[in-house]
Amino acid sequence: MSIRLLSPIRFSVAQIFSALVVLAVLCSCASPTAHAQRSVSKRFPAGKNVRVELKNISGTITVESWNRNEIKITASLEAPTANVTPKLMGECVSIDVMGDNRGRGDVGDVNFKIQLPQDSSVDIETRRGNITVSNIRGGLVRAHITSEGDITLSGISASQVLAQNTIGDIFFDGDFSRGGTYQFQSTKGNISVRIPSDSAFRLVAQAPTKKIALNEFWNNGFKNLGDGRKFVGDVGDGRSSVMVTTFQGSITFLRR
Amino acid sequence: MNCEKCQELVGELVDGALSPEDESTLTLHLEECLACSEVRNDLQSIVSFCQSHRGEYSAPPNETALWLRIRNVIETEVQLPATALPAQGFWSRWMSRSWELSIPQLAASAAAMVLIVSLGTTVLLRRWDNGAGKAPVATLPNSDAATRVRDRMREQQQAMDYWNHRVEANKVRWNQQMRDTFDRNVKALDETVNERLNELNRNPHDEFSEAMLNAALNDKLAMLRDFSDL
Amino acid sequence: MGAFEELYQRHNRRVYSLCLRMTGNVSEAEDLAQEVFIQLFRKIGSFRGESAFTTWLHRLTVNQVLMHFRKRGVKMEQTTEDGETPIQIVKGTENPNAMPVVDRIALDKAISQLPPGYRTVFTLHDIEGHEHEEIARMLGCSVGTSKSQLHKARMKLRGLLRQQKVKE
Repeated sequence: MSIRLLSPIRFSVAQIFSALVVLAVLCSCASPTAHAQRSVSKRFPAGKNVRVELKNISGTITVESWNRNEIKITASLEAPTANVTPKLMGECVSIDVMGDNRGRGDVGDVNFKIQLPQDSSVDIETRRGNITVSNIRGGLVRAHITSEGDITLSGISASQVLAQNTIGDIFFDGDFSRGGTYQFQSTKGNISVRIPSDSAFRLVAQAPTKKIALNEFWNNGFKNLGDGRKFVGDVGDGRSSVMVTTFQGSITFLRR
Repeated sequence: MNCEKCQELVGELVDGALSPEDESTLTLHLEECLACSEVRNDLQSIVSFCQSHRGEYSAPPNETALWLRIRNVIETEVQLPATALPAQGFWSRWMSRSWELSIPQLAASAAAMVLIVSLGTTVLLRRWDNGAGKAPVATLPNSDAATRVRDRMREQQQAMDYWNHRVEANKVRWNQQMRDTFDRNVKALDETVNERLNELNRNPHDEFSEAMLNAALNDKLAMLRDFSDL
Repeated sequence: MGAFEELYQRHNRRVYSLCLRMTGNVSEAEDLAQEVFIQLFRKIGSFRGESAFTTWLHRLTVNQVLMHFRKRGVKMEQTTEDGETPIQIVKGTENPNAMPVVDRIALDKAISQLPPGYRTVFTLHDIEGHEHEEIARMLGCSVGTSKSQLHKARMKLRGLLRQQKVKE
């Protein structure tokens, strides 16, 4: 063994080349700057009517309620040049990634996590990326994705809910309140609405032929307009207004 | 007078809005109370500064860029109504046109007009006699629907060309992922537009398809506008 | 378009400055100034010349900013703000730090720190020179509210200017 160790070891060109390739791959994976993400976090005291407005460009956005009387915004930034400056205006916390980064070139993904009291209103706009909002019971929940991304709204009890995307699914699990308005629209996504069986609303549902499944919420009072592509009717006393539209996907109503 | 009341009124004193009685009571207190008179002096200097600098304005960070943004929006607004003009253009051109005619030309024109009017009257009277006052059973609704869709497409296309042009100019700055996303999503909207157009070709009276087509065109325009900002 | 560009060149600073003072935020002020000129373009046909053009444009600008505030849920009467920062009644020997001589930068900085309701009334009254009656009409509040907002705004501003000096 000792003799073997002391004697020169022969490497073929192929062996050296593959060793170099492996080394290069390892180095790039281990490099601390290769995928470094900067994180920014800011807290604001919450007043009575909290409203958070977020205008993002790209990245995932998660909004959830918590029991503290404050708003916490955590942003993880992909590009070192990106800038995120949440501002407090009256009782509204506003984050404008687009405005904050004008002229800075490509700012990559900015992923947000927002924690706030459950009675808050949330207004989110982004160009791309998923949006998840859970357990919010304020006046407004708006999630608008210009292009692609899934929208998941769960545990929502707001008087106005608006969700829109182009490619991606929309899932709503919550309650329709009396006099409230609810709009869900996708170009190429499936829309699922999960609500209690005693929900009462006026529905306008539009989707390609045979792609609307109202299940338990179907009744004979529904008008079939446009050869099964549009249904209009009341469920219960129609106390809230619901509009669901998908150009290429399906619509499904589920009982909770 | 106590400090609380004094400081409540001191602003109005600075504005010269107090009654003479209140003013003299307040002045007495101010002569005795250093803290209140300091408040008065401070408010006085804030208000005087504002008054003496009234009419001084600061410029936006980039005046030219702001103007270009405004101009871009305005130009699209000007372009859109312009598409409706060609239909009326014929009449407005006709009405505003001036004519220079020689006497023989004038006579020929008058003769032609008499002929047209008399022929038209004869035809109308005949139709009336035959009970043809009812609307003619023509395929008007059909062509109306088609024209409406075509007009709408043409209007939207002009605006889309504009925004598309801006998107293309900015696209080089986006990362690959954003470019792919944009292309995929435009494609999805185009698919919807084409599907609806095909349905409308099959059935021009399909109101549902017409409404969906409009919605898809609006969405596409909104997407182009949103991405042109990036 | 040339004529409209001339209007922009003549009035953009005035419009932008008013937006900036009312919002306290550069990018918001820019966006609002942009919106004001677009509105101006749309509505210029309805200007009948009953008032001076600058007054009309000024009103258009104020309305645009107020609409923006309403859209964002900003309330003009900052009742909660009163609870957070009550006006300090100055008694006896005051803070020895006298207020510094007011200058443009310090004042603009302090104005931007005011709550939106205070900032609006202060800008309209002290900077733009409107009367309380006019402000009350614009904001849809009472003359008394306008007066009390102005008083609170000035007192808060005084405090902010003093603080700035302490920090320096």
